[in-house]
Amino acid sequence: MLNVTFAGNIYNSNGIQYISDEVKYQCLYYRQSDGYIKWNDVKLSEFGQYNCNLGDSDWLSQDNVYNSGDKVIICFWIDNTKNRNDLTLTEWSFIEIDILSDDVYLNDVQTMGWQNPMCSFSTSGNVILNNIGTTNDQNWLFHNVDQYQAYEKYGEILFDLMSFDINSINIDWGDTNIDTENLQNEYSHTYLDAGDYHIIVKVYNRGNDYCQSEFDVTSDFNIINGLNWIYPVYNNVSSTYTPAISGDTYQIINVDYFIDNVLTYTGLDYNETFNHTFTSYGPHEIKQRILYNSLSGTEYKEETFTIFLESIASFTKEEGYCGPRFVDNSSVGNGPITDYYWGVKYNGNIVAEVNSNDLLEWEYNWANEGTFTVIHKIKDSFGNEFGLERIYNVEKCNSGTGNNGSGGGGLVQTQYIEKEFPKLKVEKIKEIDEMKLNISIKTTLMR
Amino acid sequence: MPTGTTLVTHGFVIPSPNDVLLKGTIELEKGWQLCAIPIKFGRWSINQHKHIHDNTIAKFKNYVMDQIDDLYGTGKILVANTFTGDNQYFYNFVPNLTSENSVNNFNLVYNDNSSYEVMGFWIKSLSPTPLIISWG
Repeated sequence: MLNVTFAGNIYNSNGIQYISDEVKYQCLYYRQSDGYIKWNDVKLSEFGQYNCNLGDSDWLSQDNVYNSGDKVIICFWIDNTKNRNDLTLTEWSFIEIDILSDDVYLNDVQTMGWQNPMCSFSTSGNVILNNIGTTNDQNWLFHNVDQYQAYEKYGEILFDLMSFDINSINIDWGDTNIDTENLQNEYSHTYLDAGDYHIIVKVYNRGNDYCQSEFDVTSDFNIINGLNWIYPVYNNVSSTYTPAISGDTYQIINVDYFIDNVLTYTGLDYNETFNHTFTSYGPHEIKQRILYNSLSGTEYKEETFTIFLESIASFTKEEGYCGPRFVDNSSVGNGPITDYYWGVKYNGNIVAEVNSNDLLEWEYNWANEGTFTVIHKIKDSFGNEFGLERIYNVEKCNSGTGNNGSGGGGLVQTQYIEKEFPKLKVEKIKEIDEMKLNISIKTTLMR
Repeated sequence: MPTGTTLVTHGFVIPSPNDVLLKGTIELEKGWQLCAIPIKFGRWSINQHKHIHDNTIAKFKNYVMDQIDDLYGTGKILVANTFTGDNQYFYNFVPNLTSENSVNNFNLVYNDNSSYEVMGFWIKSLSPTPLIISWG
């Protein structure tokens, strides 16, 4: 038989026991294992006492069992004409009981009216006010029993009036600006002038009780780094770099630029452009260092920008032992090149292909006369692929003697002459900017 | 009416208030014990250390609990629960807490449509030695 008794005396906020049925109460069972919830019917106190049994038909009844460690919450409130979700309760509280193996749980209860919420804020940056745990929840000890006031527990709303109303926070930023907001995690403010400010934050509950936090903050000048350049940037090609510095630029003394940690351009104005040519494969770093007058003297504001370079796939054709020999002469952007690919396509089909991390040249024998497409692709260390296709019209010219190098006698081989088509296509197949996760395709026609 | 642990539930017509026909005792062992006491009127007199069968309605507190406290001292009983069939609720009498005027201080016999129901109840003894209680 399910028979667990919960009982106790109920006291008001002055510590005086209620004498009759002034208090309403309701019991909540919460099963830990699956979150099952069961409220019993609302009851009235009797002689200032509460008394209920888990096995009552309006609670778990005799058809259920409980597990050790499950919870019972009992909510109490006055006046007894109102429901638990009423926003005008006079006093209220709840107790929480861990159900173990006892047959009777005796706990005294104290109801309480409005109490001040508890503020918990911090400030950061220039200037952000962080709500790091402001709460209206209350907990106190009465007759050695923890008493609580809270909006919800285990996903169940206990007392609606414990929630914060709209416009419950008032922030005096100290510069004559006063904001009234809903309670949220973060508030930011921009001061028009640098200087010291005193912030006062007040959070009100529905009972108009409030907590207060105060902060002394310094709002310094706001300098924001920025640098723009035209994409793409190639090795051995000059590019223009344009500052995009914003904020209190009138405080800036000058700007320096470090190329790969080497001070290269110094004493520039905050909006002065410069040209730079990279002569080694990338990526490269440009650090922008701004010297400006702050409230406490001169200070630096730095930011580093990464410049990713583009590659251009290219090759030359030379005479090999038994046929043409293709030699890579690509322009490398973000090195090193991790993969070289060569392929030959005839009648739309790949008839030969090789790839390796060091295959800078490749020799191939034309199989017959006709139109061949030679494909060359390179992949840089960031996984970006660049490619090139050239078309050769191979015509029978004469017969000669070749050697396959496998030992023994000679090999009669037909030799061909080829004619490179005048229009070449340079294609960057894919480029992944890992920083921005952008994918772009670029096609360039050469000659 | 036999003595012991037999639960008497329904149908007894018990003369009242002064004709006490039924007498009995029960030995409460440590732990849970199921009881029924077919007494409608009467109370335990702490001064006389015996039951007085007057017009007082016999309830758990004045007929059973006072007897145990008087004979064995307080703190021997954890709780007594009876379960009503009508609404499937418990009445929970907790010694030293439950008000004597509370509905949880249940009658030992109820009048149900002109017939009398003897309330069966569970009682939990904390005493390491048996507690012998009597009625009638």
